[in-house]
Amino acid sequence: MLGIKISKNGESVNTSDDNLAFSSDFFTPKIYKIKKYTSNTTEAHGLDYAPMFIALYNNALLAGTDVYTIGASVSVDSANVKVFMPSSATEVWVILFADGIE
Amino acid sequence: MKFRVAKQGFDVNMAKVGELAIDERLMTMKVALSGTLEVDLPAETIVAGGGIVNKDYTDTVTHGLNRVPLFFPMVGRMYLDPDSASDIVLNDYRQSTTSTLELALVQVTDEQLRLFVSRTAIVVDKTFAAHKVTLYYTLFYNCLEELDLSIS
Repeated sequence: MLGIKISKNGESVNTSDDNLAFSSDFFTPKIYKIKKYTSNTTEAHGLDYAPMFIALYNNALLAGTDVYTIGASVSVDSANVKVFMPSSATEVWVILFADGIE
Repeated sequence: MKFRVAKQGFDVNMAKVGELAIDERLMTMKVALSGTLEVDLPAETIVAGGGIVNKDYTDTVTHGLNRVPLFFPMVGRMYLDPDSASDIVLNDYRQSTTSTLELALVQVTDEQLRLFVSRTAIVVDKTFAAHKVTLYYTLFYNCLEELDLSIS
């Protein structure tokens, strides 16, 4: 099997996986899109499978517009990303990965 | 220049975007720093006096990135068991299914990552158990900036 391994500085690539800075044997999440939403939205994400994602929102009402927390009502399917704004938020950020939910 | 490695079982020349282990068109997550946030909550009784009284505890790390970074674990708001005498690690804690009087909140700004725990007594006095609340965090250089690497 072909692949790529990169060791940490000063380490051998042939020893423990702990000494690797990168290995194609392991899963590496890859960011595909980062987008800010300011209203309830359903839109196509451009992939033909349901991607991994992270969502953050700002709790503008209680904490301030520049303070962000993991969460928000976001869902994905094989076509769309759907964003439902929390009542206390003015922004929801969605980080979509090219990697599917498998 | 192209730099792509297919996942095991896929041909790199035919693989679609989700079938690649490395793809130079996409952005990977790059760790900026990792560490621990911790608040040591004492055994205490919060006197409500017929109203609502909060007592807050916070630990913060100043990350120095000057932008709002992504972070792991994906912990936002979590209701904790106020009667638990056991320490709580938020990374593997299953939160209460109903709201309790002890709420943990993880917040990030362009300067800090914060672990915030709020204890509340509503109308009647509330006694809380002593426990430590810990968050093992990883902060990334990747930040909240719009980005579209859509590949046609």
